[in-house]
Amino acid sequence: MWSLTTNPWSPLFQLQSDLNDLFDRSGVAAAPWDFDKAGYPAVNIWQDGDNAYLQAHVPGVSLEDIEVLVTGKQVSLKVHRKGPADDAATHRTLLRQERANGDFSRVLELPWEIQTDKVEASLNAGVLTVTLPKAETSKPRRIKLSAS
Amino acid sequence: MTALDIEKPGPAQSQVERMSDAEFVTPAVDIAETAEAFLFSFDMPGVQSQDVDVNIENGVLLVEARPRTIGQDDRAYLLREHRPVGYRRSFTLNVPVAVDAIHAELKNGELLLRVPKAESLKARRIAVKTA
Repeated sequence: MWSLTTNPWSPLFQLQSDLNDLFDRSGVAAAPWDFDKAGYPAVNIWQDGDNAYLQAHVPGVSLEDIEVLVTGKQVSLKVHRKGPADDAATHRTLLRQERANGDFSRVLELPWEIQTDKVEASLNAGVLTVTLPKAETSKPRRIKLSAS
Repeated sequence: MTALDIEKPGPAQSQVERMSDAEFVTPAVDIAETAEAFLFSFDMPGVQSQDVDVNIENGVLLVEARPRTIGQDDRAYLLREHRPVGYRRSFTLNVPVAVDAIHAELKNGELLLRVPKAESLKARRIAVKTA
């Protein structure tokens, strides 16, 4: 029975919303305002007028084991961290292991489009810094007023 | 694991503590043992060599780092998962070690510490290449 207050599609919308929640909780494509959903590597993102800056802590990871992909509003980080098993030839006994190793990836979304061809990234002392320029269309534009 | 006694982080150590003007956290560490030495690898992203202090006194090894970036935190953040902090951690060593032969190195934001056991000190002196 049709009613003005019931949307016949609402079960579908509910399903979509539930699925979105599921993805949010898994840390994939976490919304930038979800401060408490920290992943690995730990990431800071801040912005000024023209750029956003992403800074990820990737200690013990070398340059060739980092991949940064940028599409639209999203930045994807892929990191491979070598573990103690990788140098088994050195005959060492592991007494304590607190640091995780293996493959890690994160997808982060900015509130605006990124100018993908102008993105720069550098690695210094285990800190990965990526400069993400705003697309021209996303920058604030001053509108000239004309008197009529 | 008899040779190394890692000090249990108390409430003051396990959480961020405020010391003078800087904040310190306990860095994650891997510890390995070879026939000659203990090998420590600390996660210390953002730390430069001049920031690091390694001390050994009365069998307690103290590692401390104060990056210059401590306190720089006035940005317009969209996402904030790490803060500019210092690192501090201490260990009680239950075996005699060759204090003079401790070697520390920073690589890709990791502090690698080699603490040779004292028993092998003489043998190492023959093989050592450094002046």
